[in-house]
Amino acid sequence: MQAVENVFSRLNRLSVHLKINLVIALTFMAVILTVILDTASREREQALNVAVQNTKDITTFYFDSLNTMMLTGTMDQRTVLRNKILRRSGIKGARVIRGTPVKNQFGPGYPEEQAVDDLDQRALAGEEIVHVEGTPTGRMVTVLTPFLATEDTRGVNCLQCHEVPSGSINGAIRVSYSLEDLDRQAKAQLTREALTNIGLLTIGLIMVNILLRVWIRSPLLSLMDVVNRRAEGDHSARATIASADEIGRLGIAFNDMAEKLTESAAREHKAAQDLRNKVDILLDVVSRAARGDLSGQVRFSGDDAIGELAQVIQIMINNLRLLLKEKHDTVEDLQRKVDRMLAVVTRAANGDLTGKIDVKGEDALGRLAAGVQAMIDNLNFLVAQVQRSGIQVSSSATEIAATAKQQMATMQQQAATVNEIVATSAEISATAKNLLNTMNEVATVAEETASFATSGQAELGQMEGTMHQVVDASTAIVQKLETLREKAANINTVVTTITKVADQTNLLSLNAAIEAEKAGEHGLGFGVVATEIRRLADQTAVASWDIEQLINKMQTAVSASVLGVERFSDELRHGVEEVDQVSTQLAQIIEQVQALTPRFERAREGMHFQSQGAEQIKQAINQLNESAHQTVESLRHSNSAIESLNEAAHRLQVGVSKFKVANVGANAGAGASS
Amino acid sequence: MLALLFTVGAQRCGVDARWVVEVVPAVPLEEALARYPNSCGGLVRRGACLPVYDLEQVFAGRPSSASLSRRIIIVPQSLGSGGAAAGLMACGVTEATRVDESTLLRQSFNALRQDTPAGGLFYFDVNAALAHCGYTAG
Repeated sequence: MQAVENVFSRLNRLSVHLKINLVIALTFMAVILTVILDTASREREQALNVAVQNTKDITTFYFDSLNTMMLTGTMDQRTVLRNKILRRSGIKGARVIRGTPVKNQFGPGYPEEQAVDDLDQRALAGEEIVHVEGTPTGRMVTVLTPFLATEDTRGVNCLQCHEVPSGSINGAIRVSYSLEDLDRQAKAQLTREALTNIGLLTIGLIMVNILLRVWIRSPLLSLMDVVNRRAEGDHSARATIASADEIGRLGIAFNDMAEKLTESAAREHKAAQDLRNKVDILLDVVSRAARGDLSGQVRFSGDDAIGELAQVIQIMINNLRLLLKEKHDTVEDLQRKVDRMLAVVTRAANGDLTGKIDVKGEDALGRLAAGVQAMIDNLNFLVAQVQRSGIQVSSSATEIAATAKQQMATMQQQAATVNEIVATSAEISATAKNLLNTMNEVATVAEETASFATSGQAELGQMEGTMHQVVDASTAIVQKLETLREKAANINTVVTTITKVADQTNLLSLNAAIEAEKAGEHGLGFGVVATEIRRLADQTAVASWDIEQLINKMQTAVSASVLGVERFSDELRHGVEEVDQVSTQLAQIIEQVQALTPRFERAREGMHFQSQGAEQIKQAINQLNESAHQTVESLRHSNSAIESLNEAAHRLQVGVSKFKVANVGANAGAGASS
Repeated sequence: MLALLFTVGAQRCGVDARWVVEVVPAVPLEEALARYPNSCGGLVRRGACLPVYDLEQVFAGRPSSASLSRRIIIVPQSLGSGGAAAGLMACGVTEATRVDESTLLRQSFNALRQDTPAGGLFYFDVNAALAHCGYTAG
């Protein structure tokens, strides 16, 4: 309910012509929708009927053609017929389903002639089927017609060829037809109709709007404009009457009403103007009295309320004028006396204490003037004294501050000097410590050196003895090697002799063999002997050559050994001499190092004392430094105290100098006498 | 045939024993007697002066090293003439052996300059060698 009320309230806010448009559009849209939906439904039904009839006809045609082919014996060409049917527009499937009797008699047939689904089975059972199904591209009609074997099937006796009882089912024909084209045409026509209707509706709406604008909206707007002008105060605004319908009569009624309203308004305006004039005069007089001007007069009278009010106000203003005159004289006298006193006191407040008050009298103001005069005189004396004292204090404080600053600078110089001394003595102390450490290290190293040298000397003695023994042994080796060399030389001589003999033998045998060859048959035996001799000589030569090689090698080795041992022996002798010298030098070094040790000890003690002394100096100076720092610190404190004193004196002087003072002596006398 | 064996360069050579008059030790040669070109010296034998050719120097291009087996082969001017004509100095002259003539290598003397020996025994033709040395009967 709430939603419906909302919709109605929203509709009520629309303009009249919009409302009318809305009603007309809704009504006509409903009519158009109903007509189109009804037409569509009928078109689809009609198309289906046509399709079913068409498909049935094709089925019959297919069967008759087949039958003809059976009779003319051209059943082999039945695929041609099927393809022709399939080429017709809208045909999506056409096939013969071969029944069991035919299969038994003529064989199983083509693959497409077998029953594949439930529809096929039902047709073979004898049912005539019209099946309509929806596919994504549109509706599809499938018709299955079984063919019965009878004596007279449309003029043909089937039983002539088929060996089956009458009425049995030889097979079926199945044809599928798509309504896609029909449905598309129907849809296109529907769309055209709908577009035409909507166009007509639009034209009708435009005409209605034009008429509404001319007959109702324009007159109403012009009348509304006139009413608005009248409401804003335009009394001459009148409606233009253009028609005799309801709007025209409304304009005439409005014009009458406007005429009467204008007359009554003029009358009321005049009465109000008169009253306002009188009130204005009264208001002027009263407001001038309120501002203090009591000279105003009320110049009208009457018996009404305004006239009485005017008389009373005039009497009141006259009484007020008399009362004010008396007060004014008294106040002016008082004002003059107070002004004189105020001038003197103001000068005293600004620091000028020289003013005199010449107000005499026994009333309250006279006594007040005498008291104020005495007070100013006393102040004058006091301020003069303070001024003098301030100057004195300020100069003394300045002197003290200068002295303290000098003293502090001296102390700071002293502190810096002391710091330098401390640094220097610390360096001395550190250097002394380093030196002491170095001396300790040197002493240790010297001691170690002495002990090493002592042990080295002992080892050198042992080495010398061993070297002497080696020299003796090498001399013996050299002698033995010499003997060996002589014997080898002897062997060599023998071998050389053997070699020469063998060589000669070989040569002899060669020549003998050659001669034997030249002798031919006679030399054969001699040749054999020569060969044997040569072989013997070869063996001898080889053996002697071997021995010679051995002996040569031995001799070379012995010579090298002898040379080596002799050189070694010489070096040894030289080495022994050097060891002797080193030993002597080491002994001297040991003596000197040993003498060095006690001197190191003395030097070390001296360094130690020096280090201690430096440390003590450092400590003493550190104390001195600390006390100097304390002195500087206290000087700084006193300096700041003096500065604050100086500042206080200065401030005092500044504060007092604001006062201007008359002659002190005269005033002091006056103060004492008063 | 009976072949006297010696070495030239790396190659073992054989000379027909009929071409050998005598084998003598490599005695110090008289250099003053080297009247023939290419000869390394002269040798006096039975009153005649013979030029001596160092086969190592002539055919392998380097002088032969002195060794006990270095000997001088005295050869005639032609086969069957008993007189000595020249001395051929060679190393390794220590053996005479009987060889089948058909197995001998018959090549030019250039084969003796090779560092690696050819397989087999090099047949050393005295006549050709003397001609190669530039020997002429004088």
